[in-house]
Amino acid sequence: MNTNNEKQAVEKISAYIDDALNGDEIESLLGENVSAEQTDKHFSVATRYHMVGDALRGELSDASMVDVSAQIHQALLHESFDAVELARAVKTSQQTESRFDFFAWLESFARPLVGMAVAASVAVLMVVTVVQMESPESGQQLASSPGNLPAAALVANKQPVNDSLSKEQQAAEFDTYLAEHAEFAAQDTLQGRIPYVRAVSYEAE
Amino acid sequence: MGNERSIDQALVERVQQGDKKAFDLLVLKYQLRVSKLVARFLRNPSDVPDVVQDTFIKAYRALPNFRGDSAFYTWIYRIAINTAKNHLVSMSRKSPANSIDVQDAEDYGASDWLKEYATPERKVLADEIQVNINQAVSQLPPDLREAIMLREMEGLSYEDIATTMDCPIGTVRSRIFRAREAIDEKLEPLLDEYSHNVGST
Repeated sequence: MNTNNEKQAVEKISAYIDDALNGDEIESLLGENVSAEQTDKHFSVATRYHMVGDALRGELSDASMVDVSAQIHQALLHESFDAVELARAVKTSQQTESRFDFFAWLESFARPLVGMAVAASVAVLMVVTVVQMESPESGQQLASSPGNLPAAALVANKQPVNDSLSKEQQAAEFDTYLAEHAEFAAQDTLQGRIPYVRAVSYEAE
Repeated sequence: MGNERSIDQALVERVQQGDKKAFDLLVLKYQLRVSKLVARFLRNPSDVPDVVQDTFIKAYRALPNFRGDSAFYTWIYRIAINTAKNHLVSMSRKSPANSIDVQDAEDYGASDWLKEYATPERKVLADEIQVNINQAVSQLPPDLREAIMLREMEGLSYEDIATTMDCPIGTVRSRIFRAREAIDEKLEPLLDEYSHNVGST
């Protein structure tokens, strides 16, 4: 690589660290046949260019002076690089990706469908319930149910338990009932009987 | 930079096909950013180069599994953080109290511990570098100085600089390169002298 080419290569590195190289220029930079010495020089130049930027921004620090690119380059030179293994790993990765894409597509298709089905079911259930509530036939109740009759009608329809008893017998039974349930009465003095007062009045003539 | 991710992905694919030179380019581009990230985790600045080196070697070995779902720099930053944490554990030190995530670390400014230097000589060297670069920039022709300042200080893309300076992108690229080249003429001897002194001691 002559001086002119070397200068062009360094200019490309200058543009590269600013993300101002296009794909073709990257390819040409990678395609250049450079010696190990030139590679080291390029590493140093790039580090110094970064350093210049840091200094101009007032961000120069110890970290700005770290340059391990040559060491990394050397370490990777001795790295056992199995291209076949690498290609297989990439291929497996791509296959996994394509399979995942299918399931992802299936999931993306099924998820809104299930959502719509659930929403439709809820809507149908609500419509049916409302229609049933508003329908006149909904007044029909089960035989054992008291139905929608008002409380007054229930009382009116109620038949006496035993009509055959006379009023005296009924009173006696009632007294017996009260006596037997006196312990549940709120007032112990009257033994559960409803107190009553007999008021006697005299009219003065 | 809009094409950063596509360029990185193209380089990654080249590496996956066995091109180590493509990995060299990735190292060139991200070495400084990874170094700064790692320096935020490690208390001892002299440990930074080893951890950065480990990070890139681990990344190279893991590249067959990189599918490009995330950007390359996000991926390698995660490796760098894990490597730094593992280093702290192996050195039986406590990690920094504040947990730093990738994005947080990117957003952080230069903090005090980042300003620590491995040796007093490195601190002196950094001061000298700063002075020399400032002098070199002040001696640049105006068009070169403007181009490099817009790029490095304002962070403008080449397209934006071309619009600002009303010149073709190729001219911007050339001016920035010539500015760097001129500054580097002052910087390189300084670093060589430091390396020579360190080597001799």
